[in-house]
Amino acid sequence: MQLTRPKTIAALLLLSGIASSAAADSSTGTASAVAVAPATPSSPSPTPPLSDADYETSDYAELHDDGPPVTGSLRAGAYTDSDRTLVLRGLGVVSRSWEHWTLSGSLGVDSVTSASVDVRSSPALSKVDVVTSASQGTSTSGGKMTDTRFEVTGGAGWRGNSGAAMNLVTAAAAETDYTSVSGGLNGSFDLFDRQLTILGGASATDNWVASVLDPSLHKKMVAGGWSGGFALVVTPEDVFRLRYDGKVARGYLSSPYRSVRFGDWTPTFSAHQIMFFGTSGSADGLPEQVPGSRIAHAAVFEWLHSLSPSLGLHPELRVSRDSWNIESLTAGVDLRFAATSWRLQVGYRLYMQSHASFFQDKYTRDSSTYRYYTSDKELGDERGHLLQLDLAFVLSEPTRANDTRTLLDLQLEGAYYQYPGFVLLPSRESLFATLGITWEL
Amino acid sequence: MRFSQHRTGKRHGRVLLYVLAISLLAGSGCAHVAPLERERLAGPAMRFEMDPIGAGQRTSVHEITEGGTFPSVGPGNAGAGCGCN
Repeated sequence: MQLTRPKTIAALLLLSGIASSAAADSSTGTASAVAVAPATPSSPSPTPPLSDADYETSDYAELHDDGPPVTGSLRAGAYTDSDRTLVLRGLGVVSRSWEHWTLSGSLGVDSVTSASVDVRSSPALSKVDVVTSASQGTSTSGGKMTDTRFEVTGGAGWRGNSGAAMNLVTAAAAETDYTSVSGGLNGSFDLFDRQLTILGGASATDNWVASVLDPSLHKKMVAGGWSGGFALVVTPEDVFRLRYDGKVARGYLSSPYRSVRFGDWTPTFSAHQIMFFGTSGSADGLPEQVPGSRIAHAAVFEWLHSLSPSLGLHPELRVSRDSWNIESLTAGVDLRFAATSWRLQVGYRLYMQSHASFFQDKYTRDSSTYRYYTSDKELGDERGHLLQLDLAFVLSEPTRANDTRTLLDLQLEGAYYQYPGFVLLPSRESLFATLGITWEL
Repeated sequence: MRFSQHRTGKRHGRVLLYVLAISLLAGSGCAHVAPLERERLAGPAMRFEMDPIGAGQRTSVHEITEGGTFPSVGPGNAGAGCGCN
């Protein structure tokens, strides 16, 4: 279901987040869920700092162990925002490691309920109830929709002794009107005594788009992504990572539910519906039209600075531009502390974005004069302020061989987004929280 | 579109060149840090993603709520994405 953009949060939460996490750390090939020193020390992403010879003999060896052979993690999460969207999620991730290999998999279920402005401004409100019924949701009130999404992922990782590592990740997801399959391959290679690590990867996704309002609608969209960069040990306390990311998407990039009104209209809001007055043409407007392809590029710079053996600072800067002329700037910083039995990370993130070339707050002329038009607020000007908190601690430490180590983690993110000029929703506040438990055998 | 596809393509090429140039400069211009000098970098606080699963989930929310954010396919990041708008 893609009735509303927040609606797809569940999809990407799993598809990109978990798929990557299940077999993510290519420099280790492991799937460590939580980093709390020193019992589960997966290597840092930039590069394991010791050479193979040092690894065998150094006192740091235990800090570079490849982690537990079997890891399982369960997470429950919730996303809610002032745009009346609620996402509940359950997720399970398992991984098994051998000498050079790691296999991992995940299963996730997301339940979404939304009465966002996209839903309430959907034309022919009664059809929104059809959406609810079609997805077997429990809500029958107007102006609200529900859906459930399922996803499975699988991953395989390999790490050689020479500093090379590869990961293969696959994912499949299904919901009422959206199905996708994905595959990705990424890897890394250490150079110069592991002072420099070269990173790279590519992925492809095939998507089938349908509509519960129009059984005849069957659209396709394919997407590809690529990435390249490096991580560099600069000083005994500093690591840089610079990465270039690219993405191309072709096919049906619109939402079959989002409509655009024309003219100098004014809205009236109610709990179940947004009415539009003063439109030119139909008050229901027309389905949005966007270009059939989109190419995006981004450069990401990260710096890790060690303030003390257990305290680190992580500034990050990202700039992007795409073929729809959206330019964005992201600046963030987090402070992290990792002790023997607990870990804390607090951060702030600033996001700024310019609008797509075809985006307008109101399309005041006749619809025939526009080639492209959208009412997607995320294609307009946008600013965001985000506060993040991660806390993890060890519930039980193994006391003998084959014991299980158990960890508990809590993740919170509060966000405030502004959409200057977007009449239907000037701002949105959200809270995203997850609680997880991890077992390491 | 404010710019032609030709100009967009040239701009994309320049971005690639910049990344390559910075990579070469960074790789050749830094002093060697011996492995035994990197103890501070070995701690769990010095991982780019301290919690890979949590970081992935959080990033995925940003990809939905921010029009200019999309998933990376590099190591330590998203391996696949639906790419939906």
